[in-house]
Amino acid sequence: MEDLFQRINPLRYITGPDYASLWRSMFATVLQGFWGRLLAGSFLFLSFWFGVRRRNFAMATLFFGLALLVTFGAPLLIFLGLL
Amino acid sequence: MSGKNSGSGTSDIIPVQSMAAETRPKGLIEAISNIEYYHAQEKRGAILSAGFFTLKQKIEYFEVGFRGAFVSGLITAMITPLAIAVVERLIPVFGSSSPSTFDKVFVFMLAFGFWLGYACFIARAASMYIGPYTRSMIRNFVGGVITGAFGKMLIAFIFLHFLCLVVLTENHVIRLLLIFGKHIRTETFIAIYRWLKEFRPVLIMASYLIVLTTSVFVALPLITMRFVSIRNKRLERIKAIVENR
Repeated sequence: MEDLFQRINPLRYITGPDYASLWRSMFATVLQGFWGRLLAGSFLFLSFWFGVRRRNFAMATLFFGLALLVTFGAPLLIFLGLL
Repeated sequence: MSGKNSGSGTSDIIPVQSMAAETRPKGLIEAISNIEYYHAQEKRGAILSAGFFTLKQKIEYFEVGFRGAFVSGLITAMITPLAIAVVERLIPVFGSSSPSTFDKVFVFMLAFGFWLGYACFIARAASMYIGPYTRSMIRNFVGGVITGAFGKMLIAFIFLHFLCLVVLTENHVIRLLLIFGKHIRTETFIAIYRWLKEFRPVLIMASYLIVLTTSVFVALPLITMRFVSIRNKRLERIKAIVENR
C-alpha cells in the first residue's frame, strides 16, 4: 500500500519546483491567451445552449460559472501570486 | 378549441382544451411554443375567446416571464460592474490588463448575452400579438417579464448604490484594511486602497447601465406589440374596404 502511495506521488519523478512550474504553465495556457479565450467562448456558448435551448438551468449555470472562471481566473491567480 | 356554425345559424364555440394549454409552461421556450400554437390557430380563422385563457394560466404565464427576466437580469447585474471595470482597465481579463476589442466584447457578452437572447425570444413572442386568445397570453407573459425586469433593476440599483455609498466609503475601506493590515505589506495595503477608490464609481456607472439596458429590454416587446397591433388594425381596415366593394 505504501508502495502504491509512493508510486502515484509525482514528486518522486520530478522536483518540487518543476512540478509547481508544470501547474503554473498549465494554468497560464488554459487561462490566458488564445486557449483561454476559446475555452471561455465555448463555455459561454454551451451556457446559452443549455439555458435557452435545453432549459437545463443547472448545466447553464455550471457552464456560465466556468466561463467566468476562465475569464477572470488568471487575474485572480496573479493577485494570489500563483501565476 | 374550435369554432363552427350550427344548422340554426348561431355560432357555437366549443371550448376544447388542447394539450398546449393544459401543460404548464416550464420555461421560456415552452411558453413561446404555446403562443405560436394558438397564434397559428387564430391566424387560420379559429375563434378563440380571451376568456378561455383562465386565471390559472394567466398566473403561470406571468410567472414564467417574471422568473426568466428576474434570473437572467440578476446575472447581468452581477457581471456588469466587472465588465465596466475591464473596459476601465481596473480588472485584467484573460491575464491581460490591456483588453483587446474581443475581450471587451466578450465581457459584455458575458454580462448581457442572456439578456439579449431573452429579449429576442420575447420580441418574437410579441410579434404574434394577433387574436384575442394569443393577445391575452402575450399580455400576461410580457407583463411578467416587465415586472421581473423592473424588480431586478430596482434591487440591483439599490444594492450597487448601497455598496458604493455606504459599504465602500473611505472610512469603511480603511477600517477594513486595517483589520488585515498586520498580515499584508504596506505596498499591497496602498494598492488595494487605491484600487477600491477607483472601483467605487464603476458601481454607480454599472447601476445606470443596468437602468438603461432594462429600459431597452422592456421597450423591445412593447414596441413590437404596438407595431403589430397597428399593422393588424390597418389590415382589418383594408379587408373591410375590400369586402364592402
